[in-house]
Amino acid sequence: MTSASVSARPEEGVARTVRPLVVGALSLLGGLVLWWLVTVLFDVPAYKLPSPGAVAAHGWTLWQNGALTVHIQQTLAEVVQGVLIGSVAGVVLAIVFARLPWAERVLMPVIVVAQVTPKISIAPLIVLWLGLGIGSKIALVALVSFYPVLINMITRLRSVPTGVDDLARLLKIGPVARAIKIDLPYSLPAIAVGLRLGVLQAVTAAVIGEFIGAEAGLGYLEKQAQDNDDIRLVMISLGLLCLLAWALYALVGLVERKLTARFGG
Amino acid sequence: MSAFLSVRGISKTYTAANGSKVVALDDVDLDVAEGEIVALIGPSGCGKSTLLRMVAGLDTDFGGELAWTVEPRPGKDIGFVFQEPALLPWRTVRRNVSLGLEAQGDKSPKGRERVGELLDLVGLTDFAGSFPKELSGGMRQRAAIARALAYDPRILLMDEPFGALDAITRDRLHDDLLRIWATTRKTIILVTHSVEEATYLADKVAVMTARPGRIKAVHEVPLDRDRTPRTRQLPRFAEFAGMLRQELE
Repeated sequence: MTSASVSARPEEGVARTVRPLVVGALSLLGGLVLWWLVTVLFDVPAYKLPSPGAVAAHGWTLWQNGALTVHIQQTLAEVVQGVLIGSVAGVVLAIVFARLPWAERVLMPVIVVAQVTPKISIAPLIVLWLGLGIGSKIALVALVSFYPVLINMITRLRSVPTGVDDLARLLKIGPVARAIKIDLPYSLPAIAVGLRLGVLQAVTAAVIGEFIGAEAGLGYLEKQAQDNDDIRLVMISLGLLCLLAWALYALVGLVERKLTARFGG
Repeated sequence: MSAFLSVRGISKTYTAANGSKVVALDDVDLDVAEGEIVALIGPSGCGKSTLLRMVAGLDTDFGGELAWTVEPRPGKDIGFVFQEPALLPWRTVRRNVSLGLEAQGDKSPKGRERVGELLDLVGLTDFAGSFPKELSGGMRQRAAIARALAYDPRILLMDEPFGALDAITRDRLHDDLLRIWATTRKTIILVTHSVEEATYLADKVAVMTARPGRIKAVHEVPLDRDRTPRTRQLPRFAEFAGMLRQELE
C-alpha cells in the first residue's frame, strides 16, 4: 500500500526524505555562521573563541599529521567493545531473569544500585582497579550500555503473546532452543532500542573514563588540550566526539528500523 | 466407537484476588471417541477453555482424572489452535507451520511433504514464503491450523479459533476445517460460544454452565456427517441450534 502511494506521487516521496536533510544541514550551517559572526563582530580574542575557520584549519593539519587517528581509534574501540560486552550481558541476564524470577529478585537490587550511582563517581574506582589502559574504559562503557538493553528486553519478553508461550510449552521446546528460536528474535527490536539509548551513554562513559585517567582517546586529548589552554584542540576533540556519537547513533537507528521491520510484525 | 479420552470428575478451585474460593470446574465428565468432533459450548467463565488447557497439559493443577486409551507423548500428540494465530512474525508461513517438526528434531522428507500437503489443504501453498503480516486474519488462522497438524498429533484442540474473524471468513474456515477433518479424520475438541458453529461442525455438543463450571448436557448433533453450506438451511439445523441456545439461557 505504501509503495503504491509512493510510486503514484514520486516527487512527494523524494521530498519527504530530502527535506529534513536539507533543513538539518541549513540549521547546522546557520550555527556555524552565527559562531563566525560572534568572533568577527564582537572581536573575541582567539584564545577565548577561535573562529570556525581557524579551528577547521588546525584540525585539518592535525588530521594530516595523523595526530588524531590514534585517539579516534582508541575511543571507538572502547565504545564498540564495551557496548558489545554490555549488550551481550544484558541479553543473557534478561533471558535468565525471564526464566528464573528468583534470580531477578536477587540480582536486580545490585544492578539498580550500580545504575543509580553517578557513573562519574564509579569511574575513579574502575580506573584504580583496571588501570589506565583500555580495559577500564571498556568496563565503564559496558556498565552503562547493558542496563537499557536489559530493561528493554525484559519488558519485551514479558509481552510475549500467551499463545506463543503456550505453544512453546505444548511443543516441549527446551529453554535453550526457546531462547534462540523465540525469545531472542522476538526481542531484537527492543534490544536495538536499548542499544540506541545505550550507545549515547556509552560515548559519555568512555569520555569520563578518559578524563579520569588514560593514555589515549578523544576525551584524553580534550583534557590535555584543556590543561595546555589549547582551545582549538578542545573544540576539535569536542567536534570529533560529537561526530562519533552521531555516527554510532545513526547506525544503531538504521539497524533498529531494519530489525523492527523484520522481527516486529 | 471406543472412548479415546475420558474426562472423569475433573474439578478445579482457585483463590480469587479478594481471597474467596472460586469453583472453576466442578465434577466434569466427558467422553471423546476417536475421530469425533466434540464442541464445548457455554457462557464466558464456564471453564470451557480451562478444560481444554487441562486436556492439552497446559494446566496441570486440577483434581480428577484424564483417562486416555493411549497416553499422549509430550510435545507430539497434541495439536492446539489458539484464539489468536500466535505466529512468529519473523518466520515465513512454511517455517511457522514446520515449528513443531523442528522442535522434535524431525528433518525427514516425510515431515516436509506433510507440511506441503497441509499448506495445500488450507489453501496457503502460494503464500508459503510470505510473512504473517502479509496475510489476512483468516489466512493467519489457517496457517495456525496447519501448524497444529504438521507433526501429525492424535488430537486437535481448538480454543475459539474463529472468534476473532468476520462472519464470511468464519464460514469459509468452517468448511476448511470440515475438509481437513475429512482428509485426516482427527479427533477434535472445539471450544466455542457460537451455537451455529457448534451445530455445523460437531458430532457431539457438550453444553456447560458457569459458576460452578459444569457440563449441563451432552447432545448428539442430528445431522449427517457430510455438511455443506446448505446444511445451515435445514430445519433440523435451526431446531438444534435453537435448542442449544435455549439451554444456554
